Amino acid sequence: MNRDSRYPALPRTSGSPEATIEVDGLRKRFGPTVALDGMTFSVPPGQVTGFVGPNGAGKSTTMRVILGLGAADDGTAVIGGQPYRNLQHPLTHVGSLLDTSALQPSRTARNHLLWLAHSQGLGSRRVDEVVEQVGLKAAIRRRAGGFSLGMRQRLGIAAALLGDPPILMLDEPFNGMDPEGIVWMRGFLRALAAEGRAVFVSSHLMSELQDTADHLVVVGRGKVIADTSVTDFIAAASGDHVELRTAKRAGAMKVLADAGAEVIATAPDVLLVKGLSADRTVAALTAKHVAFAEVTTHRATLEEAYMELTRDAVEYRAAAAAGGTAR
Amino acid sequence: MSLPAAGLSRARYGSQTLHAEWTKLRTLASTGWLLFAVAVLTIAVSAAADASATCQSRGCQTDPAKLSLTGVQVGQAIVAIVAVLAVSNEYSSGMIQVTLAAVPRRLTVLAAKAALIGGLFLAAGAVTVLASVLAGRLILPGHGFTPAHGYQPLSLGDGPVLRAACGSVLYLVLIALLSLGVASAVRESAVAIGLVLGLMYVLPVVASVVSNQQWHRHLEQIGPITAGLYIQDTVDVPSLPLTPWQGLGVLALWAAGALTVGALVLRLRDA
Amino acid sequence: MTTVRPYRSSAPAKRNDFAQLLHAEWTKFRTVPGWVTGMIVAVLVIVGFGLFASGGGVKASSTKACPPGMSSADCRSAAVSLAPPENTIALYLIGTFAGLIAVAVVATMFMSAEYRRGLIRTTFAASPVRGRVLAAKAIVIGAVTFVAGLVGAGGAVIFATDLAHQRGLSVLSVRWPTELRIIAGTAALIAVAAVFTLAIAAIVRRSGATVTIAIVTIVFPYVLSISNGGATGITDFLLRVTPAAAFAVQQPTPQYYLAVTSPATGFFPLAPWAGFAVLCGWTVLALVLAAYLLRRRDA
Repeated sequence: MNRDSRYPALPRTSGSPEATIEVDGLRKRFGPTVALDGMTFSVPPGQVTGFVGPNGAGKSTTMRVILGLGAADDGTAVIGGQPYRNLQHPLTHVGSLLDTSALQPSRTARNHLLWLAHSQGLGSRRVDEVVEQVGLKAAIRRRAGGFSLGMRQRLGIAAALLGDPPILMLDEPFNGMDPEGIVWMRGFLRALAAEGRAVFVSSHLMSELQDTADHLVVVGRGKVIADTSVTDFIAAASGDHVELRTAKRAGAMKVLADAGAEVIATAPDVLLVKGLSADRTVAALTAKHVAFAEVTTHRATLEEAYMELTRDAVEYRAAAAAGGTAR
Repeated sequence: MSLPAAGLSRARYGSQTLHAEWTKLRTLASTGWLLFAVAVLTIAVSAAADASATCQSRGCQTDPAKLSLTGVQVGQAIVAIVAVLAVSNEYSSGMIQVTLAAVPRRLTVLAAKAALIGGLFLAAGAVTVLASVLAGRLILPGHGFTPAHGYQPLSLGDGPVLRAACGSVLYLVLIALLSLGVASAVRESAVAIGLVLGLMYVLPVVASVVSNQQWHRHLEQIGPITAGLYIQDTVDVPSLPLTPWQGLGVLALWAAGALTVGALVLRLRDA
Repeated sequence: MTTVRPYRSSAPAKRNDFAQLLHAEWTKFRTVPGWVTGMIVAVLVIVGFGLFASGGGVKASSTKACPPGMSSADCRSAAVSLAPPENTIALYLIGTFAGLIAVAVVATMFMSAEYRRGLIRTTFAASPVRGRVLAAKAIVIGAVTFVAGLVGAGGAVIFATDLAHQRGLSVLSVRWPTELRIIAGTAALIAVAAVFTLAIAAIVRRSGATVTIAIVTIVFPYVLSISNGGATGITDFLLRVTPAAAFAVQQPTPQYYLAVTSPATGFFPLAPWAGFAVLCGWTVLALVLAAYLLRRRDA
C-alpha cells in the first residue's frame, strides 16, 4: 500500500553520523513470500523511535538485515555510514536485543554476559555494571534456563548495554513484562534517549509505545507507511469524538446535525458526535432543550490511529467472532 | 456448545493416542528419508559383504546367512537414530508440553510411541531383511558358495535361514525400542545417540580384546549387540555361548530395561 | 526537534583482536557444566579401558620380528603360526574410540547449541566476521580435546603398562619416540576428529544428524574391523578411506606382524601419518564447506 499522504516524510536528520541507522530501499524475499518491499527510513540519535506494524510486516526481518544477520536482495542498511560487518567491536556501536530466549539454559546468566563482554574486549567489571543497571543483581548467578520471561527481557537489555553503545535496537522489549516492568522499561528507554542515544524499539502494541516513543516508523507489508512524530500521527487521525448518552435520540441527532456535526448512533441510547467539542455539544443541546444523561470526550489514541492506518496492511486477521462487528 | 463427555474407555484413549503419534511421525519428512536410508544402507552393505567373500573349496568357515545379513549391523545405527529422534525432537522443540497437555497419561504416550516405532520397524525391517537375503541368494553362488562346496542357495524354506531372517527383523525392532527407552531417559538427542551407539560398539570391542576366555564368553553373552546377533548364526550353532533365541532374549531384556528407566524418568520428572 | 548532543560510548577503543574472539569462545565452552563433564568422561573412559585391557593380557612370549627383505605376504602367513597376540600399547589405547564418542557429542553440542535457540544470532551480532567465529570455535575445541587426549592416552599407557608389569605380563617394548608418537598422535587424532565434528555441525545444524555422521565415519569402521577379527576386504577399504584411518597413528611399529592382524594388536592398512592425513583432509574439506555455508546462509 502507498505511503499515506497525511504523513509527509520528514527530512533525514543530520545528527552525529556514528549514531544513526540508515535503511534505504531494502528488499528481501523468502521463496515466494515478499518480506521487505523497499523499506526506507532512518533512526537519528536523541529520541526513541518506535518501529510499529502488524505481525508479519517485516520488522524483525529489517532488524536482522541491519545487523548483518540476513542478506537483503537489494538496498542498503548502514550504521553511521558503515555496514554492520565493518564495525570494530560492533556491540560498542549497536546494542541489540532480538530474541530473549536466545540463551543456553545450563549456563548462568552472568556467564552469558561474560562471554559477550569478552568478545568485545571488555571484562567482568563491565558485566557487573550493566547487571546493576537493569536490576538483576540478585538473580544473575542463576541458570539462564530458570529465568522467567521478565528476567530474560532484563538480561537481554543488559546484554545490549554491555558495550555502552550510542544506538540501541530492541525487538519487542515489552513482551512479557509485568506492569511494574513496563513502567521501568519506559522510563529507562526515555533516559537512554535523553543521554543522546538512538533508541530503536519495535512493537506491535500501541499502548506501550504511546508514552515511550517520540517518533514513529509505521510499516506494513514490507514497506514504510508513515514516518512521523507521535503527536502528528495522533493529530492526523480522525479519532477525537464526543460520546453522548440520551433517551431523546432523534431529537439530539437533528439538533447536532444542524450544528454541523457528524452524528452516528452506536446503540439505542448512545450517539457518537464528530466535529463538535463537548462544550459546544452541551450548549447546542441545552439551547434546544434536549435532555441528555452523559457527555464524554474521547481522545484519539495511538492505537486507534494505528488501526485506522494499517487496516489494509494487516496480514493475519482472525475471522470475526459470531455476534461481533467486523471493521 | 457441549463438550463430549469425559472418561474414554482405555482402549479408545490408547488408540487415539496411537493415531496422534502416527500422524506426528508420518508428517515429518525426515522419517521417510531415514527409513529409506535404513533399507538402502542395509541392503547395500549386505550385498557388498556378499560380493567380497569367496569360498575356494569345501569347508570354508563362512556362514552364508550371517554374511548376507551383515548390513543389519550398519542399518541398526539409523534405526537407533529414528527411535531417538521420535522422542528427543519433542524435547528440543518444546512440543512435549503440548503432547502431555493433550495426553496427560504419560505412560500411554510412551506405550504409543513404542508400539508405533516397533510396528514401523517390523514392517520396514521385514522388507529390508527379505531384500538382503534375496541379494545373498543371488550373489553368493557366483562367489564360490555353490552346492559343490557344500552351500545350497539361501532359501527361506530352510529352517535356520528363516530363523536368522525373522530374528533379524525382531532384532531391529528391539534395537529401536532400546533406543526409545534411552532417549526417554536422557532427552537430549546427541547424548542419547552417543549412549546408544556407544552401547552398540563398546561391548563388542571390549569382548574381542579380552583374551581371558571366560571373560570373553561372559561379555559376549551380556552385550546387547553381541548376544542379539547370535540370532543370525546358522553354522556351528552349538558352539555359541548362548542359543540364538537366548541371545535375542538378552537384547530384549536390555530393551525392556531401557524402556523401564525411560518410563520412570518420564513419569517422575517435570516435562 | 531539538538537536541533542549524540552519545559517545565509554567502552575503550581497542583494535579488533582475534584473541578476544578466542577468549569469548573459551568462556562459552568452560561455562557449560555438561560440556566440561563430557570431556572429563572422555578422559576417564580412555584410561578406564586401558586399565581393563591390561588386566586381560596374555602370558609373555618372545617377540617375533620379520627379517628385513621378507615380503609382507610371506611374513603374514608365517605369522599365522605364531603364538597368540601380545600386548602392545595399541591395546591399552583401545578406549580411544569410546572416548571419541563422548568427544563427538561435546563437539556437536558446542556448535549445534547455538542453532537450537537462535544464539547464533547473538554470536554473529557480537562478531560479524563469520569465518573467524568458526576458526575460533575450532581452535578452542581442538585445544581442549588435545589436552584431554594427552591426559587420557598418557594416563592409559602409563597406568596400564604399570598394571601389566605388576601382573608379570610383558609388553611389546617400543622406543620412546614411537611411544611419544602414539600418545601425541592419539591426542591429535581426537582433536582433529573434534574439529571435524564441529564443522559437520555447522553444515548440518542438527545435533542428532551430526553425532551420527561423526560416529559412523570416525568410530564405526574401526569397531567393525576389530569385531570382525581383522582388516579384510571392506573393512580394509574403510580404514583407508574414512576419517577412521587416523587410528593408524596408534600402531607401534609396522614390521611386527602378529597372529591377529587387527587394530587391536596394532595393525593398520595405512602408515601412521598417512592415516592421520586422511582425517585431516576430510576435516579441511568439512571446514571449507562449513565456512562457505555460514557466510551464505541467513543467521
